[in-house]
Amino acid sequence: MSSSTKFLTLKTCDDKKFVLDEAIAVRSQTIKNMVEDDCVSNVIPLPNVNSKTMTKVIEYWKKHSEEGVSKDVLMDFDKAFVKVHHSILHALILAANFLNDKEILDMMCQEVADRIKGKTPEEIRKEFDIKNDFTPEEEEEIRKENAWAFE
Amino acid sequence: MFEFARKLQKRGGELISEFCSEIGVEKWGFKVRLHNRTPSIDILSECLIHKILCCLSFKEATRMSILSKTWLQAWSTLPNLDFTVDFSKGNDMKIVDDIMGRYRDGKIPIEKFELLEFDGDSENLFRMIDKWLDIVLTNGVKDLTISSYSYPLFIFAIFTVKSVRKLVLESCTLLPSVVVNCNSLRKLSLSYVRLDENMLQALLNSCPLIESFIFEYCKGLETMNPQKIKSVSLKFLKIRCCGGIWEIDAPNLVSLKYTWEDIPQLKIVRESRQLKYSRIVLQCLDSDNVNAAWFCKLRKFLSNSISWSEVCIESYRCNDINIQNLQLDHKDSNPHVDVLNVIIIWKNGESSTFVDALVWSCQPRRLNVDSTREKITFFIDHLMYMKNSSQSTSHGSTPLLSQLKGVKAYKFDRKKESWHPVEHKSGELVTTNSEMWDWCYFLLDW
Repeated sequence: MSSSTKFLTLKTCDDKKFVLDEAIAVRSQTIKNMVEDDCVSNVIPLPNVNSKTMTKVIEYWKKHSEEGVSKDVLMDFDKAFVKVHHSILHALILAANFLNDKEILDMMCQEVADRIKGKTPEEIRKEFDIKNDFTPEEEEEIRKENAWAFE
Repeated sequence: MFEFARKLQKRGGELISEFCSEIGVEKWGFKVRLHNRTPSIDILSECLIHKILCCLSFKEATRMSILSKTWLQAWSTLPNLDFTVDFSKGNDMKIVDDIMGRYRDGKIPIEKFELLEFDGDSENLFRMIDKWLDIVLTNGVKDLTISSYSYPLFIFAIFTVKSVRKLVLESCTLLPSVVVNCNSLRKLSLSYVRLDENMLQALLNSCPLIESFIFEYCKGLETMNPQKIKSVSLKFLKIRCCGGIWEIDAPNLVSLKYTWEDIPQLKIVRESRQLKYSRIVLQCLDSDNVNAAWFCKLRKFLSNSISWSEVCIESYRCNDINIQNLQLDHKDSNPHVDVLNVIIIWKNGESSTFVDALVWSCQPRRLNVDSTREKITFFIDHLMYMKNSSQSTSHGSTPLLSQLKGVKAYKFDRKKESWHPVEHKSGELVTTNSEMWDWCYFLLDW
């Protein structure tokens, strides 16, 4: 490691600290903007991200920043990375959105879409823990209006 | 620290505004909740639900509108629309027309629009498409695809719409009109569209910043004169089955893909230093043509051309090649081929001279063979035999392939889903299912 390596400390909402090479942390556009605006003194608080989610994000950043890592290895890594419980998936979407990391955000949204495909609305609500806030009449109305999509 | 917190807060606010303006929803549609419970898809904002819905077809996305109120709200302002309609089914047209009406009345931004229509070719249909296209262009479409048989379209009118970055047209009829300068379009793809030299030049001239150009199965370019492509901005070029005489002057090309049914006359004026990938596909449709002279022409073409990263030959018949006719005066020629893909669709006959001619004319470093198990075995047998015989000079075909120093063969194991080196023992490989398709590749050391 060269002597010029700079480290940043990130603090998640549950008060856990992560010390990270700046070159890796700037994969987050949000952090990058802060570094460029020179408003990073010691600790960067991430009030919207918990430590469990941040650990996953850093795991992704480190793998994708490795030197000489092959495309196949990264593809296998990504495949395994998205195989998580839906609550982690959503936490990652929110974290990626806050950190402004388009790569992780796109990958996670694609994963949700892949899990949705071919399932009935009831199955999706159950799998993703979505509360149905329609009355049966409202639901029937929407179903009727868009009957073509349910054929 | 306060300064920092403010920045962070600002970033959150910016994110919301940025996303909302990008997709055009009002800020009130946003849900903000604290993370004091297990995150579920329920707490995702409309903007993030858009992102998820955009990975689905519009029909699939529409089914998601009954999940919850947030999902309904997100769906109703979805910026990506794709429709497949059948004009003979009146209902199809009405559904799309209603949806388009809603987007027009609500001034809902549209980013991507894709219309695939079958069975068309009527004035009424074309009027409907005109109307939809108008809405789409007014609402700021960036990525536009229209596939409708003989739909008459003023392409230069679309060029005047600044928001359009990508335009894909299939089977439409391009109408001539006043040529305009289009600085916004980056990607243009035309397939099954009739073009002529003038139209091609007009398109190229009006898009000085075009980065990707795709022509597939466009009639009207098969003339005796070379069709010229001259563009400094062009990075990706794909010409598939649109004539065999081309002159390409694109010094910043990154990827070039070309397909024709025979060996083309292809002149690359300024070879791009950025060229990372180049592929040429020769579909040998007229099998009678594939003789010794054809292979000589191929070798000459490959020697005088750029260094292709991939050459693909689709062969429908395995002719016997008169090896004597593969002239030795091609000694100086030197084909540059990294990978040769051979797809063999022929049923009967095996010709060792065909394999010899193929390898001789391309001199690939890697040879991929895609065919039936029986043919694959034949290739392995023959290439291994060639290597062995080139070491002893007694064999008749060796002068042709005397430069071949080594051959390594690998076969794909379907069960293990991985490649394995082949230890050659003749005839051992074919046991059952000789008609089944297999893959193998050879590494050739020249």
